[in-house]
Amino acid sequence: MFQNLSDRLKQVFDKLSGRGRLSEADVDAAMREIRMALLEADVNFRVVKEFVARVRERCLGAEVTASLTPGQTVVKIVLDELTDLMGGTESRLVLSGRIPAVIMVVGLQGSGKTTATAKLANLLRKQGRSPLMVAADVYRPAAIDQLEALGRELDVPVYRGAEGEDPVRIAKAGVKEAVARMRDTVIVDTAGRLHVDEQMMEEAALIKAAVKPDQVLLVVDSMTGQDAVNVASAFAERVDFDGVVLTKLDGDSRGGAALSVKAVTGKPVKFASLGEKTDSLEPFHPDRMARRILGMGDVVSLIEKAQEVADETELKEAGERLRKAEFTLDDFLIQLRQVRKMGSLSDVLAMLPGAKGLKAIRESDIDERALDRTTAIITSMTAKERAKPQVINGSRRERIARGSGATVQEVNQLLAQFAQAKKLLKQFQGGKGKRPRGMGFPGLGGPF
Amino acid sequence: MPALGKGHTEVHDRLAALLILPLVALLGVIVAVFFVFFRTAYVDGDSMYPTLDAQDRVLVTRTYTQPRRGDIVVVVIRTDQGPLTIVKRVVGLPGDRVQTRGDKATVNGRPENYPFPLTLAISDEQQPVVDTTVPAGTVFVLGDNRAVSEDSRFVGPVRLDDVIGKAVAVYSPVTRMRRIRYDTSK
Repeated sequence: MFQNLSDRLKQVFDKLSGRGRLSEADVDAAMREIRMALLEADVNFRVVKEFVARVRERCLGAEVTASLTPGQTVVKIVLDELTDLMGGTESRLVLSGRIPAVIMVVGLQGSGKTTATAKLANLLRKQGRSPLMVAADVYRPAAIDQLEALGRELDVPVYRGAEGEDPVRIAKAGVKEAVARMRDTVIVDTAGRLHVDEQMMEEAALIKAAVKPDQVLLVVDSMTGQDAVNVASAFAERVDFDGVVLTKLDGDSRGGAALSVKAVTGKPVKFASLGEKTDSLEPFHPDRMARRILGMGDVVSLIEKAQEVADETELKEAGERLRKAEFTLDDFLIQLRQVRKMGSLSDVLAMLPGAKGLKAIRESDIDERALDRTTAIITSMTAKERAKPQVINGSRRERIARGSGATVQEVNQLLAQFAQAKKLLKQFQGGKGKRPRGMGFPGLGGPF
Repeated sequence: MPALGKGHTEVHDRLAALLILPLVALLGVIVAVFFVFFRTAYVDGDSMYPTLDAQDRVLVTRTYTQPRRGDIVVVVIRTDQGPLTIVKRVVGLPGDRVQTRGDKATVNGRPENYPFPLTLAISDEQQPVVDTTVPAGTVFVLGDNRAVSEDSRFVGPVRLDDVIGKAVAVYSPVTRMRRIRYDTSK
């Protein structure tokens, strides 16, 4: 899927990787190539123009972060913008809650409309609904037979009208049938034509008026690229629909339809069909799709990684201050939170070499709550108190204890420990520079 | 077999005794040994869809002591109707903070990687909201298809003793036969 586009973009990014900094000319050159790659992928030219302009602007204005190289920053910006281009977040089916809910499926012949109807019925059934499919594609008898065959395979009932019956009446009767058979969702497969034409639009509008669907889904064949987008535009004008189902996405090496349809029509892609089987319909995830285009795995995200490194910088800073004996309760709090983030204390300790054998750790009888209580005590202090613990007198201690739900003794204990630790640190400073690497707050393992 | 002589049948019988008995015994030993290390489980329902489909049969390793996040496991839960064997995915290990909302779950603040998204916008509100720290000696299990899964969100974490093993392959129906792959990069 999207192989050509992925390869092209990868080439662009490869050229950027390893650079210490990117000049405006570098960015412009990269943007030219991204523009070409997108145009070759059959993305709508207006969409490409806007997309490239946005990416360029963000690249030039991007602040340099400690955690990402300039090349990675560009990848991240492109990833974000691709995600936005495809709608940002996933778009689900919105059903009003009335029973039966009605979903109407429209589209051209050959777009995979009937198969998509059956796949959608299967998906809904898997998630606890009981669908009924209505075969209202009266102009193509094979479509009705096909739907019935699929219905048998999936064990989903299909309603078909009498021969020669008007599709609007079939749709209405189908909804009634669903009530009679206690089905909670009706999916109406409407008639398609080979091309967008007046009659088809009129009929779709009539069916829509008759059954008042909760959701109207337009099925388009993603392999047809810009044609699919044009079909969507035509439908958007005449029969308002709520979302798009992209079929045959697995065979689409370019991705033009997937990337342009939201930007051109304003309608989100709700489902993508990735194969022949009846279970190959997936809710469409713009972020996952963008990652797939850029050849990133679903699992490890660049952003997540950057987040980790950012925390590391925070830790380093605290370590720096610690060395200069400027260590405050705020820094202590940062370290506490870091430790907490890494998982349970026993997990963290188990990471230390040799600690695995310790019985106490195996049985994990370390009081996890002690950490939380310490955090509570520190957060109950004012900023001034945290920076200068000496000012904490009796009444302040009482207030802190009340604020954190701890006893005054516990507050005292913490302050005493902290003072002691600081004294210990000062002694370390005596032997200048020869501090053991990775030194942290005593007893907490320090920055890993 | 009246046409054959008496001696003939005797030879047959002896041959049978000589050959078939050891074969049966050998087979029995193989089966017995096999079931020391493996057992099978039947997937009843759609709670692991699309990873496992209803009516799949899976091969389960019994020599499984160290659950990892992401493993598909067979566990026993206790219900009013007695013990029930179910197939779910391990999401939280002892000490992990697990939060679920709608079809999404986070473990220690990180999103978990296996949800099968809900199709309907309204379904989110019908899912229980859980925020818990997994106690020692238990694991928090979820079905991939949250919409219809009865899992730790309802019955709480599962005791490690009740974890029977890890699913390694689907062996039936033949059309779905495959090894179950786990992402070992994490």
